[in-house]
Amino acid sequence: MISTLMKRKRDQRREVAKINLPTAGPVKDPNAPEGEPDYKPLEWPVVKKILHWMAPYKWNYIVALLVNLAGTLLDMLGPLYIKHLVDHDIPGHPHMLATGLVAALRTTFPGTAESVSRSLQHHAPFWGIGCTIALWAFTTFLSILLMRFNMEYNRRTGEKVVFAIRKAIFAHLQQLSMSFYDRTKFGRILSRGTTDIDAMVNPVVNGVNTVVTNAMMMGIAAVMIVYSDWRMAIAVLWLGPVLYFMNQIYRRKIGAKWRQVREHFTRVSTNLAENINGMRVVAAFNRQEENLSHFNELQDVNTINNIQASATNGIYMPLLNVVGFIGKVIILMFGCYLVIRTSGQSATARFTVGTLMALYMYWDWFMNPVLNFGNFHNEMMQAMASAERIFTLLDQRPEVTDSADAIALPPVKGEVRFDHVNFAYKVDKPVLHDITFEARPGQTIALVGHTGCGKSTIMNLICRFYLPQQGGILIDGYDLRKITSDSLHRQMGIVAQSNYLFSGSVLENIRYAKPDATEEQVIAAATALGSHDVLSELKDGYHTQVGERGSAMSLGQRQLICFTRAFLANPAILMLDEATSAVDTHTEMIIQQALERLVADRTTFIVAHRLSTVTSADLVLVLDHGKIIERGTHHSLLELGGKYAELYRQFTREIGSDTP
Amino acid sequence: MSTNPPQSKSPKTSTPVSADSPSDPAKPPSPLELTNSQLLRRMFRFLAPVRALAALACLLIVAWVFVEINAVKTTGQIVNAVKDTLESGKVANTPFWDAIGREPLRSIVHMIVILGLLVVLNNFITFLRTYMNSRFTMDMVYHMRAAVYDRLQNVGFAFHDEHSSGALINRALSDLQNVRAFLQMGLLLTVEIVAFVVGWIVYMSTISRWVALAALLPVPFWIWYILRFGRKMQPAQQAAMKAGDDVVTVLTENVAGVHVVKAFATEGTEIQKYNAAANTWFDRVMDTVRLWRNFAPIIRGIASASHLTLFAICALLVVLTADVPPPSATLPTSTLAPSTAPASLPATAPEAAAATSAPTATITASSPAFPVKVNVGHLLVFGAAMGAILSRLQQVNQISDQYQRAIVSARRFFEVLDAPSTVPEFTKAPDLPRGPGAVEFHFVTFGYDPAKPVVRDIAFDVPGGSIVALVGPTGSGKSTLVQLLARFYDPQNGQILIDGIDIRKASLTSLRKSIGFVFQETFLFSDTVANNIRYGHPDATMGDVEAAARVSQAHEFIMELPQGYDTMLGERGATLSGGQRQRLAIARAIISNPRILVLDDALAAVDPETEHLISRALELVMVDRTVFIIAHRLSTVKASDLVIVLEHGRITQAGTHKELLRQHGHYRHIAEVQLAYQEKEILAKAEKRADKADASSEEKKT
Repeated sequence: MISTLMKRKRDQRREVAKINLPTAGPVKDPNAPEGEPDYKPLEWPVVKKILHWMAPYKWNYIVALLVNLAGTLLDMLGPLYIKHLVDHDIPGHPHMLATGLVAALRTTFPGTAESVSRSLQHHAPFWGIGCTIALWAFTTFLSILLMRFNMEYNRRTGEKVVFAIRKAIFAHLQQLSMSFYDRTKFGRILSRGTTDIDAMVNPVVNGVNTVVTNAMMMGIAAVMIVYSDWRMAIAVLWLGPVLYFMNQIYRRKIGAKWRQVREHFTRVSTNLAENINGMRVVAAFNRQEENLSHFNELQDVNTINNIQASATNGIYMPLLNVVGFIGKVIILMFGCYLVIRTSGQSATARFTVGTLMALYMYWDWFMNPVLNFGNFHNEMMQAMASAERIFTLLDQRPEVTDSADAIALPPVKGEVRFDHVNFAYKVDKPVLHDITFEARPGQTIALVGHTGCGKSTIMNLICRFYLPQQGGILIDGYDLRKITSDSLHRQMGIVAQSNYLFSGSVLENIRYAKPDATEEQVIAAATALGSHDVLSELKDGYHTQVGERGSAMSLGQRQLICFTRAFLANPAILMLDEATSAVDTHTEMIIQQALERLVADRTTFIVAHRLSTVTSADLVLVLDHGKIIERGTHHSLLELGGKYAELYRQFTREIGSDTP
Repeated sequence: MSTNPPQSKSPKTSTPVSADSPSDPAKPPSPLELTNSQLLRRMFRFLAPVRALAALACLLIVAWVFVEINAVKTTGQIVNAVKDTLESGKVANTPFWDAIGREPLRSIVHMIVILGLLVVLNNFITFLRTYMNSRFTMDMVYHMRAAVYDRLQNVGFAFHDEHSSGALINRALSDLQNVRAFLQMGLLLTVEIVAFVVGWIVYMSTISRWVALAALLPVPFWIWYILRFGRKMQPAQQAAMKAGDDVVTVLTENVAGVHVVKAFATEGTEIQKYNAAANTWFDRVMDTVRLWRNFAPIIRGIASASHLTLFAICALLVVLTADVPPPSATLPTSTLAPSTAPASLPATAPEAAAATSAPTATITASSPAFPVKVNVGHLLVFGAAMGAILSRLQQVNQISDQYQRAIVSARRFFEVLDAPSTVPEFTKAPDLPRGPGAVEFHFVTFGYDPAKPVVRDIAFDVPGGSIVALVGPTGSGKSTLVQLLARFYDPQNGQILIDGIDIRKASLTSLRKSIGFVFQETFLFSDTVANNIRYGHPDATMGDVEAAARVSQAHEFIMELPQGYDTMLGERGATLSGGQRQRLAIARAIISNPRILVLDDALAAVDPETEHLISRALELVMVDRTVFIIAHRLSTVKASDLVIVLEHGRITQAGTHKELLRQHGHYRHIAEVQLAYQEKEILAKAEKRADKADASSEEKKT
C-alpha cells in the first residue's frame, strides 16, 4: 500500500518533469529520445555491471532484504490468525497463550492463576479471541517497526548507488573529448544523466527486494495451499502461469498503446510550442483558423489514442481480475465440498472452515506476485535499455588523452606554430590541408573566410580539443601532443560566439576561471577593461543573476561579461569568436574598446566579424576550403587584390559605389 | 481601486501608486484577484460541455460500488452457509461432482454462481467505467486545450511580449494538466470515496449500529492525520524537486557550455559543483523518505488497529449471536432457543459469568442490537470493508494535493483565457478593398506600456508603390512602427490608414493578407519547404511556390536539398543557413502577392556573399508594391523613395537619400561612419603609394 503510494509520487514527479520540459525551447519527449529503444531484454553482462555498482553496499542490501523478508513473513501470518479465530477460538478451544499464562501465574500468584483458570474454562472464546488478537497486534507492531526501519535504510542504500552512478556519469563527461560532444546530440547526452538514470532508480532501490520477497510470498502461499490439500493445489495453481502470460500480453499491448499516445502527444505539444514561438508569423500570415483546426485534428488523434489505450486497459484489467477470481471460485467450491466431506473425520484430518478462509486469503498472496513480477520485468527492461546506454557512455574512452610521458607546460610567452597540419573530423572528409603559420607572442591573428572553411577547426586544434592527423602544433616550441591538457588550458582563454554564461551571478561568471579571485580583483579587472560601468549599472551590480545560460542579460552585457572573464583569467593565448549580432552603438563602442584592451599583450586568435578587428590584426589568414589561400596584414592583402580584397569590397560595397 | 476614481485629485503622494498600475475599471477582476472558491467555480465550469458523460461516469461508480459490496457480502454468506451446514451435521460423503449437485452443497454452489455473476458484472462495469472516464476526460481536455490555443493565437502581442513563450507553453500543457487532473479526480474520486464509505457503513449498520460506529471511529483521525502529513510533505517534496532541478541545471549548463569548461580547464570545479548539488538532492530526497518513514507506520498502525478491532468485535459477535437463528428462518427477536453452547456469554456482564443458565435472559435483552446472526464469514466481509474504507480515505490526501496544485495552475490558466484581445475587431468589419497600397500614419503614438511611448506623433503618407526606408539606432521604434501597420498592436493615439481606410475598421484577416512580412529573425515551421513557402496561402499550387522561390533566389538551393521542395525543415529535418532561411521567408511573404511588403532588418546577420544574393532577391520583389524596409546598411537604403530617420520614437528626418546627405543629422552621421572605413582605405592606399614612390626615388638616388 505504502510502496504503491510512493511509486505514484515518483510517477507524478516524472510526469511533471516531462511536462515542464517545453520551457527549454523545442519540445522533445524526454522519455523517448529518437532512435533509442525504450526496452531491452535482460542481459547478464548489463545486470552484472549493475550488480558491480551495488557490490560496495552488499551487506546493506542483505540487511534490507532480511528485514523485508521478516516483515513479509509476519504479515503473512494474517490468514493464519483468521483460521485460528474461526477454528479454534470461536468454538471455545483454550488458547495456548491463555493456558501458558495460567501456568506461568501458578508458580508466583496461585490465587490469580486460579481465578484466571476458572474464567478460562467458562469464557474460553473470549480469552481465545483476546489472545489471538493481542498476538496478531503484536506481530503487526513488529512488522510495522521493521517496515519503518527499512523504508529509510533500503532507500538510502539504493539511492547511494544511484547517486554514485550519477556522479560517475558527470565526472566521466568531463573527461570526454570535444569530438564526443560534436558527435552526440545534446539531448542524448543530457538524457544519460536524467531520464536514463531515473529509470534505474527503482530497480536499483527495490529490485532485489521485489524479486526475492515476491518469490517468497508466492512460495509460502503455494506451500500453504499444497499443505492444506494437494488436490486443491492441482486445481488452482495452474492459474499462476496463465495469469503471468496474460499479464505479459497485456503489458506488451498497453505499452505499445502508451508509446503511441506519447509519441503522438509530442506532436500536439510541438505544434503548440512552434505556434507560440512563431506567433508573429502566424498572425502576419493569418493562419489562426487553419492552425486551430490543425491543432484540433492532432487533438482528435490524441483523444482516439488515449481512448484506445483506456479501452485496452478496460478489457485486460477485468480479464486479469477474472482469472484471479477463477481461483477463488475453485477454492470456494472445492473448499466447501472438502469442509463438509471431511467434517466427520478427526480434528487433524479435517478441512476446516478456517482453512477455507485462510486459503481464500492466501490466494491473493499467490496471485499478486505474479502481477508484480510482470510489472517489475517491464520496469527492468526499461532500466536495461537505460543502463546499457549509461554503461556505454561510461566505457567510452576520451579520444584526446595526455600521453604517458606528457609534461606540464611551463608558463609560456604565447608563440604558436602550425607545422604542415592536416586534420579531418571524419577520416574521409579532410577539413584542414597543410596549414603552416606562426604567431609570435602578443600578436593578434584574424581568421577570415566563409562558414565551413576551417576557422573554428584551427581554434579547436590550438585548444587541443582534437589532435591533428599530420603535422605538429607547437606552443613556445612544445609539441601539444607532449604536454598535459590541464596545464595548456590553464594558460588559455576562450570567448565563444555564443558568449556562454552559467547561471549564477555576474561575479561568479567572471571569476569562473579563477574562483579564488576577490570581488575587488574582479572589479579591478572590469575597470581596467572598461566594462565596469556597464556591469555596475546592472540591477544588483555584480551580484545580478544572469539567468539560465545568461538569458537575463542583453547580448552586449553577455559579451562584456565573457570578455571580463577572459581578462581576469589573463591567459597567454586567447581564442575569440566574435558575435555576429548587432548591438546598439554605445555598447558597441564599449565592446570595441574592451576588445582592444583584451587582446593587447597576448597572443589572440580571432574569428572576426568586425571590420575594425580585422584591420588592426597583425596577421590575417584567409582560409578557403581548409587551405590558407592568402596571408598578410589587412593592407597588404588589399593590395594583393585577391579573395580578401573581394570579400572586403562586398562588405563595403555600398560605400564604394556612392561616394558623395 | 473603486474607491479611487481617476478624476479625483488625490494628494500627490498617493498618485504615483495608481499611475504605476494602470487599471481599467470596466475590466472584470483579473484571475490574480479571484478567491479560491471563485476559481473553483470557474474550474468546474469546464465540466459543463461534458456533464452528461461526467454524470454517467459517476453513476457507473455508484453501480460498481454497489456490485462490489454485494460480491463481498455474498462471499461472506457462502462461508456462513458452509459453517451453518457443518453445524447442522449434514455430511456429503459422495464424490465431488455428485456432491455439488445435491443438497447441502447445491444451495452453496448456487451462491457461488451468483457470486461469479456479480464479479463478472463488476468487471464489466469496470470496463465501462475505464472507458467512460477516458472519454469524459479527453473530451474535457479537448475543449480546454482548444480554448487556450485559440486564446493564445488571438490574444494580441502585448500579452506575448509580457510572458515568455516557455511560460505560455507550460500554461497550455502542464497547468492545464493540473486543472484537468483535479477536475477528474476531484469529481470521480470524491464520488468513489463517498460511495464506498456510505455503502459499507450502511451495510454494516444492517448487522449492527455498533459495528458501523466502530468502523467509523478511526475515520476522522485518519483523515486529519493524512491531511496534516500532506501539508508537511508538500514543502519537502518541492524542496526535493527543486534540488533535483538544480542538479539537472548544472548538468545541462555543463554540457551546453562544454567548450568553456574545457578551455578554462575547470572540469574539477564543475565536478565539485555537480557533486555538491547531487549531495543536496540526496539529502532532500532522504528528507522526504524520513517524513514517509514517520508517517507510513502510523497510518498503517491506525489501519491495523481498526482492522483488528473490527475482527475482534466480529469474532465476539459470532460467539454472542451463535444462538440467533439465520435471518432466513424467522424474526430474530421472536425465537430464542435455549443456549447449549457454554461460551455464549454477554460481554456486558462478565462478572456474572459463573452460571451457565443465565445467558438466555441477557441475550434476549441484547439481541435487538444484533438483528443479524453474525458468523465467521463476516470476518471476511469486515476485513474487506475496513480495507476498502481506509484505502479510499487515504486518497483524500491526493485530492487535497491536487486541489493545491490546481488552484495555482488555474490562476495562471485563467490569466490566459481572460486576457483581452489587445486588437479588438469590429464585428462584421468589412474587408480592406484592394487598392494601390498608399499608407498614411496620422499622428500615431504608441507604447507597449502606455506610460512610456515608444513612437510619438508619427505622421507621414506615402503613395502606393513607393519604397520607404526606416533608419535609426536600435530601440528608436522602427520595428514597432511596422508592427503597428499590421495591427500587431493598436496605437494609443492617432490612426493608420491604408488607401484611405482606417485599419481598425477593416477586418484583421484582410489587413494582414495585404501585408507581407519578413521578420528579422526568420521563423520556419517544421514542415516541408513547399508548405513553409505557402504558409500564408495554403491553396497555392506548386507552380506558385516555385515561382515565389525563384524570385526570392531560393529555388537553386532548394533543388539541392535531398528532397527538393518536399524536404522537411526544423528539428527533425534539414538545417538551413541564415541566408537560406531568409530567402525562404521572402518567398513566403510574396507568394500571396501582398500590396505592402515589410522587411524588418532582413539583412542584419548574414555574411556579405549571402547579402548580395538577398539584395538581388529584394530588388525583384520590391517591384509594384509599397515596401517598408528597415536597414542598417546604406546600400539597401539608397534605392528608396523616402528615407525616414527615427530617433527616440520621433521622426527627425525624412527625404531621399541624397537630400538627407545634404542635411546635418543622424543620417549623415551614419553615412560618415560607414564611409570612414572607405576613407581610411583611400588614405592608407595613398600613403603606401607615397611610400613606394619615396622608396623608388631613393633607390634611384642611390
